[in-house]
Amino acid sequence: MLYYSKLIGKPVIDKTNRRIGYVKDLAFTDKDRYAIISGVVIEVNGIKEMIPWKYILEIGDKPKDPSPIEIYLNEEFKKVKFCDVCNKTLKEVIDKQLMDINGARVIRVNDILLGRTGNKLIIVGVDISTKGLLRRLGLGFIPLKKQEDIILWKDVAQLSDDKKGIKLKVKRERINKLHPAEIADMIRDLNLEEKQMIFNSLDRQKAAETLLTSQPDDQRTFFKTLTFKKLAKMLETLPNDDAAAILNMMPSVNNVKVLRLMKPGISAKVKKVLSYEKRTAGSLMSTRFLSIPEGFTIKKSMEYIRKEMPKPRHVFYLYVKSKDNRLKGVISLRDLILAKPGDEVSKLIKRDIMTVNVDSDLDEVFNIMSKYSLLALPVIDKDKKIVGIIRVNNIIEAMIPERIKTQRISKYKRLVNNHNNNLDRK
Amino acid sequence: MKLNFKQRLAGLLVILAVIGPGIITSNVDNDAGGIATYSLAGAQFGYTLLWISIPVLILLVIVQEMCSRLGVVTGKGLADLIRENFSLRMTFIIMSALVIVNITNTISEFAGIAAASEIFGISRYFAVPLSGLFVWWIILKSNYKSVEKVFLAACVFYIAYLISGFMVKPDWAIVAKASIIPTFHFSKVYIMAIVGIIGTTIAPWMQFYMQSSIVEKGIKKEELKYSRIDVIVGSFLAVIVAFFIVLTTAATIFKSGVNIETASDAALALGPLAGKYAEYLFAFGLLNASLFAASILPLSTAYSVSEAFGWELGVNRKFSEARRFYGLYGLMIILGMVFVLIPGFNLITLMYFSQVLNGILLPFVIILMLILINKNDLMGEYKNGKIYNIIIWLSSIIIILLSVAMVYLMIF
Repeated sequence: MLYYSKLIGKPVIDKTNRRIGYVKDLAFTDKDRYAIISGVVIEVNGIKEMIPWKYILEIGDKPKDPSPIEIYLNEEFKKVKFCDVCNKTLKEVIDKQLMDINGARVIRVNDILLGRTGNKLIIVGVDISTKGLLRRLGLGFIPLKKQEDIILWKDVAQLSDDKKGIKLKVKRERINKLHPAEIADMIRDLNLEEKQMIFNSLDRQKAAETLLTSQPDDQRTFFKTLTFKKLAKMLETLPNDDAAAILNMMPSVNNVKVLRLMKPGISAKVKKVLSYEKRTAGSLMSTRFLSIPEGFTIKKSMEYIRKEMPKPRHVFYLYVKSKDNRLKGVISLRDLILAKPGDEVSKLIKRDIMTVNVDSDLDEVFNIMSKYSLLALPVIDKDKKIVGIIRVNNIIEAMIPERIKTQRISKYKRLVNNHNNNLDRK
Repeated sequence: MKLNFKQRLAGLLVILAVIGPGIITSNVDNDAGGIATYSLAGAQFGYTLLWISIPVLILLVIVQEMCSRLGVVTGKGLADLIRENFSLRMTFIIMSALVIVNITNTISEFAGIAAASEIFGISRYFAVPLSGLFVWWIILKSNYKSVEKVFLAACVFYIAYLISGFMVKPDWAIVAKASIIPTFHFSKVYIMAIVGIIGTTIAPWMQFYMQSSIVEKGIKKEELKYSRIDVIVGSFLAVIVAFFIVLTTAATIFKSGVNIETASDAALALGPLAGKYAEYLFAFGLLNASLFAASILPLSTAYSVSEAFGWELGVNRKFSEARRFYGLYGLMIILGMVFVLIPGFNLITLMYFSQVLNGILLPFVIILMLILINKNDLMGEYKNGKIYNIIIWLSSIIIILLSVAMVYLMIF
């Protein structure tokens, strides 16, 4: 990743290998979603001069060198006198306060994340993390548990007349705090390098969840940036079925390698999920569901739900098991809510229930669920033990033709489209 | 006529609404270290140091006025401005120094609490943790407005020193003469006493604290003149209190020739010379001042560091919203208490050390402030005028020279 702090003070070299100065600052022009670096500001004999970006040949990387980055110019470069008023520069952004729309103080710009796309250098976002702070102080070697915290440039609106600082367009939208589906949406609109950079700035769990909800071509991009070890660590943060879903996207040679790098306990469970045939109930089911033993009271059941609720994302039914894990019946949440606290659950149990086997075909699953209007369907193995459930959203996802999936548009695009339509009407 | 009265009343209300930061900051100058310095000055040199009050008042007003103007016009704290206008490295160094200086200062405040409570027969192992809890609770359970009220109330208790000043029945004619006509001895101890008085009155942390509290209070540009009144009244009160401390020890301890080393020594020496009440009043003043400063110093540090590094801050925030701010605040209090409770820890050396550090840091802070206040894009029409700028530069140079002199004298 390329940061502002890594470019400042670096030498600028012309074609004849002569050093013509050091990077003082970077000028930029705002575009829609990000800003493009328009020139390098250098200081020669106390006078600021700017080299427009078109004369920059490349930003050299020499990893072993003490000054690993140099900026090389192409042959017929020209310097322009730098003008303070007409150019916006990164110096005006760095170290400034960021505030949300209410004017409440948020945080400071500790560093700026730049991205290379082809010939251009763009501003991807601002780093507000302590890690960025240490990097600027030359203390980047201090290991920190926390990751970078990057606010995308599109959410940073500069109001130059406001002395108080830079304002954020969005209220505290930190990429690490967004819902994975939103991150996936946002990533769709970016180019390759930005995608990778943003993906790499996420913490493990967020990255894993984002990977899961991304479009297939984005998923391929992300796989390319990951090492097996990093992927294994990421998958450990996910529920088994989600981890299996991600592994299913990869060639089987690779997923054996990844499984070997995961903690043995977790990888065994994931392997179990992976062992089911494709397009069977077992391959689609979620292993997270709520189940209780037979003798529970209503009150105890409610307490159990409260305790376990955060784990499964959606809960529609509570499954009742015997001691040896056989499925005995089901209680709908609706009935549970309406019952009296002291009652035994046995009164509410519906014992005559629809189930499928782990090796049932998905068409069968779909037919049963649509016929009986079920929100979730339990999956049992050959010993009649409940091993998972298939929720309505899973089956819909599995039955929708690929053609329709690719037509889905992101929330951001939808907003833009609506806006344009409104403009047309006017 | 009636309207006129109403207008005046409205004006008075605005003043009352703006007042606070200046008064509080100036009064905290008379903290444990300050009281010790003033007591020693009076005990060693009698009335002959009283004249210094007027120059100190002028310097204090000038520095504080710059501070309040910077805060009101930019709407930012001093640490904010340093981070935005100078390099990150500079900010980091200044902040590190400030934290260290303020830790030593906080320790000496808690030492003041310990010494004063022991005069009242309360063990320090009880009084120090209790006041630590009190200080923590006050900030955690309040917002800026209520904190300010508590602090303003603490200012009232400084009257203890005025009362003890009257109780010792000084010779007012000599006092009046000594406070107007300067006398000067070219001895190292005398110069050190002068430098010490100025050094404890104008400290680095107060520039940061005052500006932050002005920002937190949200004083507007239109209210700048009222903020100036706040500064002048505050400085005046602070100098009066200092004046009376010098006066009290001059009229008693100096005359009897008792040798003292600390503020609590001074209180104890007052007992036999001016009666138990004078002793208790003096000790009570010390307790109040130390407790007051012990809550403000950690707070000021937390403000400055959070500003500089962009952490969520302010007593108006909840603990969960501003963890690092409150964390640093708590850490300062804990460190302050722990050092005082270590048996055999040499607190006099520490106070000495803390004064040297203050003296090293202050010139840098003042220079940065001068650069900031003369920046066109920052201050616009509120920049210093030409003549005023000369006065400010001169005063600053005096303060800087004195700080350098103090560090030199203390080390060599």
